[in-house]
Amino acid sequence: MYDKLLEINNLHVNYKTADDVVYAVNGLNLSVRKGETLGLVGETGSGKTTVALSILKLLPEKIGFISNGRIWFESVDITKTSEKEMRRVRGEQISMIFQDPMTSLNPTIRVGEQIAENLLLHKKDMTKKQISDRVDEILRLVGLTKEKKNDFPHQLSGGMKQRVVIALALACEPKLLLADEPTTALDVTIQAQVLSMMHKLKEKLDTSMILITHDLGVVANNCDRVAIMYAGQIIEEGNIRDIFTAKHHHPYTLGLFGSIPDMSKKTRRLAPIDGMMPDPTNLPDGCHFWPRCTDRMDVCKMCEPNPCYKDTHMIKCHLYKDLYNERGKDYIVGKDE
Amino acid sequence: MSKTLIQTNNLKKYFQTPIGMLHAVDDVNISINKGETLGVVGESGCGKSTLGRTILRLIEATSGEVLYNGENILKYDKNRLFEIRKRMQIIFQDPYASLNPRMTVSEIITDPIRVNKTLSDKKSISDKVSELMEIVGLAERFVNTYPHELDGGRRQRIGIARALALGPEFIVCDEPVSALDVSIQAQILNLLMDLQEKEGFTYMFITHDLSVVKHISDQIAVMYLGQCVEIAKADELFMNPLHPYTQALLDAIPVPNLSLLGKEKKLIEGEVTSPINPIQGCRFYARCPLSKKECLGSLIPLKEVAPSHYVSCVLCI
Amino acid sequence: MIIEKSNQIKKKYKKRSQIYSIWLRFKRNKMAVAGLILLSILLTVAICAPLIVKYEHVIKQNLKIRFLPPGRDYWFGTDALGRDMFARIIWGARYSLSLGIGAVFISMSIGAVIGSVAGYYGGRIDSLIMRIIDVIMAIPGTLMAITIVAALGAGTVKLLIAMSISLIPTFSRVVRSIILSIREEEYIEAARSYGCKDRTIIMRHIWPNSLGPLIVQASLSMAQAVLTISSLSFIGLGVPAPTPEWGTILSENKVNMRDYSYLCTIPGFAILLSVIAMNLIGDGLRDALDPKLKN
Repeated sequence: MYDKLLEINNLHVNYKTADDVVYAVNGLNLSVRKGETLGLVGETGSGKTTVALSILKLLPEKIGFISNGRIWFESVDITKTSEKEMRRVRGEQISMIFQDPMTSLNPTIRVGEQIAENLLLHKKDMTKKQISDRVDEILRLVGLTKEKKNDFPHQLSGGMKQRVVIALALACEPKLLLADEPTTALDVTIQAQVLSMMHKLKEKLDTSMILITHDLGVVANNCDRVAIMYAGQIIEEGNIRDIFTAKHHHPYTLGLFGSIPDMSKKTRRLAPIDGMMPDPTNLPDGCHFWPRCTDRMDVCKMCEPNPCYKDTHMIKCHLYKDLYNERGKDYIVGKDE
Repeated sequence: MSKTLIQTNNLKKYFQTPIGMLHAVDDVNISINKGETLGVVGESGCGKSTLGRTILRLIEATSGEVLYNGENILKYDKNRLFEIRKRMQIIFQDPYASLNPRMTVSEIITDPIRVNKTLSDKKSISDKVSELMEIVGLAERFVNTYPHELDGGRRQRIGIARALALGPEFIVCDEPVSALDVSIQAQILNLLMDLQEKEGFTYMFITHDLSVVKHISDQIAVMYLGQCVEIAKADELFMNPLHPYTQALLDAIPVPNLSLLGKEKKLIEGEVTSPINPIQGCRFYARCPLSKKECLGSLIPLKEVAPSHYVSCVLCI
Repeated sequence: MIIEKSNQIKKKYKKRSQIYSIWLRFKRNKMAVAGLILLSILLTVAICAPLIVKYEHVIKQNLKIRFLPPGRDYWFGTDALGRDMFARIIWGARYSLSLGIGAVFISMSIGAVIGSVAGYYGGRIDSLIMRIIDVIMAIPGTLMAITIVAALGAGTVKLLIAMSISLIPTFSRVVRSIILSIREEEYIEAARSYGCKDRTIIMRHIWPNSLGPLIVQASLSMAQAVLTISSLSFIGLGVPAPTPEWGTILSENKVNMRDYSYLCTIPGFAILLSVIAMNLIGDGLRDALDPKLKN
C-alpha cells in the first residue's frame, strides 16, 4: 500500500501522574516513506521523544497511555499489537538510538558480544560463524575496526560508543530507525563524522529514519522532510525546501529560526520567542501557541487551526487559511498522491 | 584604545593523575579588553572551563600570571582575594546544579550580599533583590519559590542575578546557554548582551557552540588540548581561519541553510587525543590533514600573522 | 502607595514552607503515614505514662494474682510476681523509646561533626579519621555495645553511652559521604566564587542539604538502637530489673514463656511495632526529603 512505511493518525498520548494528566501528544499525524529521513524538530517537552516511544510501545508502564489514534507500521497497527509480537518488531523492524550512548550499552559486556546477542535474539537461523562475520561487517560499516569488538564500552570514546550504539541498532537491518538526538552529546567534529557515517549507511541499507533533534542545522544537512512539533502536535511539515526556503512559515518556526544566531550576518539582537513552553497538564485552548505568538488573532484563542496545505507544505495556523488549502482535520498527508 | 582588563601570561594548570600529568591549561596567553567579550571555544576536554576557573582562582594555577588591571591576582593573599572576588563573577553551565536546592530565589540572590556584607539593613537588601530580579527579567512572584520549581531559563536568570549582586566588572560565562532550549537560549543571550551594553561588563564566554560564540564575542580564542591555537577578532576568525583545527571546527558546524548543502566538507578524522602527557609540539598533529615533521619537537608559539590575528601553526610561520 | 503595593506582593508570594511541601509528599506514602501514626501513639503513651497508670503498679508485687491471663482488670495479664503487665509495657515504652532516641541523638551530633571535618577537608585528616572508624566498624555493633557495657558495668546511663559510641561510626560515615558528594556540587563552587568562607559554606550550604539523608539514617538507626537496647537488656547487660524496659520484661518472663506465652508475645510485639514504625517512617522520609522531587 503506497510507499509508506509508517503512518501515525491522530495520536494522543497521556501520562498519568499522582494528581495530574500530562497531555504529551495531542492529535499527531505523521508519515514516513520508505528510504526517507524525516527530521522531527522540537524543544524540550514538545513530545518528540514520546512519539518515538509510542512507535516502539515503550511508554513507561502504568504511567504513559496511548489514549487515541493509530500507528500503522506497514500493514500492522502497532497500538493493537501484543507485547509478545512487539518484541519481534523491536530491533528487527524498528530500532532506536538514544541520546546518551553510555546508558544504552551494558558496561560489563564486550561490544562485539552485545551486537552478537542482538543478532542471536532475532536471527535464530544464523550459525556462529555467520554471526561473528556479521558483527565484523557491521562494525566496519559504522567505521570501527573489528578489533574493537573485544573492547568494553568504557574503553571507547564518546564518538566510538555512539558508533557502537548505531551498529547495535542496525545489526538486524531494521526498516525504520528512530534516532533520538543521536549526536547531541558529542563534540562538533565528532558529530560531523557520525552524521556523515549515518547518512552513507542509511543510503546503503535503504533504511527509513526519524531523526529527532532540536538542531535545525543538523536537519538541514541530513533530512529529506521535516516536521516541527509544538505541544504535542505537528505545526509545520514539508520537504526540506519548504521549511528552509519557502516564504510562509508558522510563527513558531520563525521564532525557532530567529533564535539561532545567523553566522552569515552580524546581528546584535536575536529574535527569540517570548515566554516558554505551555504547561502540558493545562494546555491553552485554541491554538496551543497563541500565548507566545506575535501574530495572534481572536480566533486563535478559541479554535484550533486546521492544517493548511500547499503542495507538500503544511502549516497548522489560522494565518494561512486563505493562502493555503485547508483540508479536513482527518486528512492524512499524501494519501491521495 | 581600550584598556586591557584581564591578561594571562603563560598560565598553566596541570593535574596529577595516576597515569601521568594532565595538561588542562598549558601556556595560555590571552587578554580581554574592558567592556569586550572574549569567546573561548573548543571541544570537551580542551581545558576551556579550567581556564575560566583558574583565572577566577577557583582552581589554583600551577604557574603563570593572571593580571587584573595590571596586578597579578595569583599573588593576592586571602583578604585581597576576598575583595577582588566582588569584581569577578561566574555564571555556570548547569542551572540545576549551581543553585542550592534548599534556598529560595531571594536567598540565593542575596547570599553574595550577606557574605560580603555590602548591604546590611533588610529594606535595602529586599530592594536590591527586586532590582536584580527586574534586571534579569524574573517576575517578582518567584521571590520565594525554590529553584526546582522553575524551568531552566528562569533558573539561569537566577544564576545571572546572583552573579550581578555584587556589581562585578568581569564575568566568566561557562557555557551559560548550552543546557537550554534554542528559544530560551536566545532570550538569555539577548539578556547578557543587553547587560553588557548597559553596565559595560567584560565577559569571558566559554562555549562549544560556534554560532553562539560568533554572535556574542568581539574576540575568539580557539583551544585544543589545553593550548590556545588561534586568537582573532570574531569576524576575521570566521572569514579567514588559519589553523587547520579552526578550519575543521568551522566546517563541522551544521548550518541551518540549504545554500551550503552539497558543498564538500573537510571532515577531520580521529578523535580528540588525551591531554595526559601530550606529545611535544603541535597537539593537533595526529588529526591534522596537513601535518609535517616540523610540527613535532618543540612548542609552536602563537604568532601574529595579521593585525591581532594570532595562530600557532608551522604553516603560518 | 508603592510600599503598600510591594508589601501586598510580598504577602501574596509568601514563602511556602519547605516543611509543608515535605509533609505533602510524605502524606502520599500510605505506609509511612501508618508508621507515623503508630509511632505517635507509642510516643504519646510513653510521654503520658504517668497519667495512664501510676508507677507503683509497675513494681507492686502481688503474689496472689500471679499469671492472670489478659482480661478486664489486667488488660495484658500479670507476670510471675503478680505485677500488672499493662503498666509495665506502658512504662517500658518510656525507657525503650527514650533510650533509642537519646542514643541516636547523641551519636548523630558527634558523628555529624566528625563526618563533616573528614568530608570537607579530606586529605590526611580524612584518612586518619576514617581508618579509626574502620577499626571500630570492624567490630559488630551489638558486640561493641556488649563490650562497652561489660567494661562500664550495667546501668541505664552506661547503656546509653555504649549505644551512642557504637552508632557514631555509622553516622560519621554517612555524613562524610553526603558531604563528599555535596562538596562537588556547583553551588558550592558558586559560593566560593563570591567569597564564602569554609565555615559559612558548611553551615549555610552543606548542612541544610545533608539534613535530609541524615534524618533518614537517624530514623533507621533508631529502630536498630531500640532493638539493640532490648537485646542488651534481654541478656542482662542493659536496664536492670525491676525497671520495665521491654527487653528486660522479655528476659524476666522467658522462663515462663512455655506456659504463659502472652508474657513474651506482648513485649515482643511492642518492640516489633516500634521498629516497624520507625522503619516505615524512614522509608517515607527518604522519598519526601528529596527537594528535587516535585509534588
